Amino acid sequence: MSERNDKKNLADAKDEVQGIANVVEVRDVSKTYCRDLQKSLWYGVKDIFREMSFRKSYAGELREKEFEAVKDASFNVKSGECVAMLGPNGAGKSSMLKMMNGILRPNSGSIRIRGRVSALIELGTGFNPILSGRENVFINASVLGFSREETEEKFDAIMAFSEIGEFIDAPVQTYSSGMRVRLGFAVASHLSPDLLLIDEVLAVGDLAFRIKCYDHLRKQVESGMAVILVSHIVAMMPKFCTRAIVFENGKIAFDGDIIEGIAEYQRILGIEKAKSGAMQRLEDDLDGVDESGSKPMASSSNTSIATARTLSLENEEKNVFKTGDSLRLEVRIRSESDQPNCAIVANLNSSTFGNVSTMASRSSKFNVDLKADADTVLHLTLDQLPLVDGAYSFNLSLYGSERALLLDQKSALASFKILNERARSLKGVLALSPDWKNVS
Amino acid sequence: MNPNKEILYTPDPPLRNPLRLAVSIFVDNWSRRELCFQLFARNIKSQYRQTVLGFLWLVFPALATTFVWLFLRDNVVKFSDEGQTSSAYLLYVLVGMILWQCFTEAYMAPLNAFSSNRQMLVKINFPREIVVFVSLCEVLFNAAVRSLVLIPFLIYYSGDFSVSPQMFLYPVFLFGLTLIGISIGIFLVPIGALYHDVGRMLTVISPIWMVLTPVIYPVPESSPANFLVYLNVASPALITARDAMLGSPMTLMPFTIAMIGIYIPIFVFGLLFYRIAMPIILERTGS
Repeated sequence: MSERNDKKNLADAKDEVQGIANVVEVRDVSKTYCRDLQKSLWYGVKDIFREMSFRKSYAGELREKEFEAVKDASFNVKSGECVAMLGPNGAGKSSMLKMMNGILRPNSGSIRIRGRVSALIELGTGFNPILSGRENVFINASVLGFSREETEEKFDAIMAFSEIGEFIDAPVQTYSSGMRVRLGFAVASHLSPDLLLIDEVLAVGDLAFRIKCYDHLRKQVESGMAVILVSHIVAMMPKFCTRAIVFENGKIAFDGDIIEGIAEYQRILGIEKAKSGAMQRLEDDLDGVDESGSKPMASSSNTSIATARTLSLENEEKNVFKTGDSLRLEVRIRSESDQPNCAIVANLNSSTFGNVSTMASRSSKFNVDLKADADTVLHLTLDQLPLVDGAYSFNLSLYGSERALLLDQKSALASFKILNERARSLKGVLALSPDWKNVS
Repeated sequence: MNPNKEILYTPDPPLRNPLRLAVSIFVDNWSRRELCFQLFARNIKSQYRQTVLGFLWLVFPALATTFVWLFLRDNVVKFSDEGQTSSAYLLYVLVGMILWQCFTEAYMAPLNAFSSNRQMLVKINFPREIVVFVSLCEVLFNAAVRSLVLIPFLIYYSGDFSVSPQMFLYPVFLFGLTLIGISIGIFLVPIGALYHDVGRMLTVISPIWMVLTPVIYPVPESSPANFLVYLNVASPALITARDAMLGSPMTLMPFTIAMIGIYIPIFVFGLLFYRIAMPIILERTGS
């Protein structure tokens, strides 16, 4: 982390010399919300009257049922930079965006914006369904800050971009949701702010239109506009963004290269998924253990999977690999009694695609014999990992000699990343080696 | 990049410098006056596009209420307005109803405007007071349309109708009445947006308030009933505007002018209150 910070500071210093200014400076920003509606409303009333008495907004100890949605966030964004803001739901991304847009005020810290800001948090804001597309273009443009003359000037370009055609004079309530989004983006895309904040709006619409939107934004970034993009669709981001800021539980967990950022985001997402999907995996594991289809019974024995970690073939701890590297999974099991003929199931999971492979020891005719006097250490070696860039982890289930007796189960263990220097494609999960031939 | 435009968001209260805040509210809203017009036009157009009778719906409630009261006055209820003809009473109630509708719309407008524009307010940063100004324009537009309907009634019922200079004071006091209403309404938004009790309470209070205002009955002259005129914020401007339209002696005019004068700074302070409260409301009411 410190090495990365040093690199960042060095880059900042270099930009300063070159005169590339920060469009956004976020310093130690925190934002507090309240989980309980009634309490939240009452705190709201108190905060309003507090501010009317010339005092700062409340920034003391967290009040009852309050939590910090954003905690001590600090970062800069330079002009011409495109930053992906990543994180699971509720991590604090949208709150950060709303504070940068001036809709919410921070409870502590400061946000300095240089230049004009526009936000695409929802497309077609201000659209009235009864009015025609043409009328709504003028209203929406006005909401986003265009003058009537500017809109008239850009109207033909907006029409061409939206591909709405003759439907422009039909009421918007007769449009499909895709048409509304196209019209909304067509208006918004003709803004030329210094900083553009985009929250999930590009997740809708068909693929062809999304590609068109990204291409349009790329051109704007090339002309010097800074973009902060919040989206859960990471596949297209490396082509568009150069940097990622990853939020986890309100804090910035990562700030750096986009590929590393996506891997970090996928790792966090994998942990989240693991928490919620433990029961589902319990059932999935059965496929590798018990062909009779009976459900496993949880055991009350004091047997547990103590640790698991990934190693190189030289048995050195390692958690960043390249496609084609070999990986060794080391599992340490602790038992208070001798238990012969146990079985272990290792599920290799991709944080975005879920289960990649289930590897059951019994399928490989391998039995685990547990001893009471010492930890049992197992090695599972995977040669030439055919995985693309991303974050991966293992879910492990330990079964007793009776097929349906579950001794222990652990999720999201031995997390590791696949990071290739040049690979930018994150589509799919397998990196195969295709052999194409022209045969006629 | 425009290096001159720099915005700083901090937890510091904007009211620390009230004058600067008031100036920034004025500058922000003035620079976006075109948005105000666009939203006003959108609301007016969309309101009646799916109707056959269109703007006539603005005047039906006042006309219906007026004729009901005319019937009750002639056949059921006795008012102390001896000597007043049915035609004169009809005009008295019709003007009163139009002014009362204008006042109720005005004091409910800011809260209604917040509710109907909340999605936009929580997603786009534009001067928040624009929605208040849009609703002010709508109230004045509705009042103007209703007042135009008065003309044929005045010609038909007032016998020897002629345009007097006093009539030109009608729009002035109509505006004053609207300003008083909207100033009250703007202070209700911060609490009303958080607690829906305020909106429900307003629907309960409105008919009671109308009964306590001399809309359908003559202005009481003796004490203690005439205190209703002075204690009720709606009464002076309503009575004065009606007197101006009907050519009656405008005895309450000095009191009304003083009252409107007081409400101008109250309105400005209401805008400051609104601006300060808005981020807190949006944070608490979510997206």
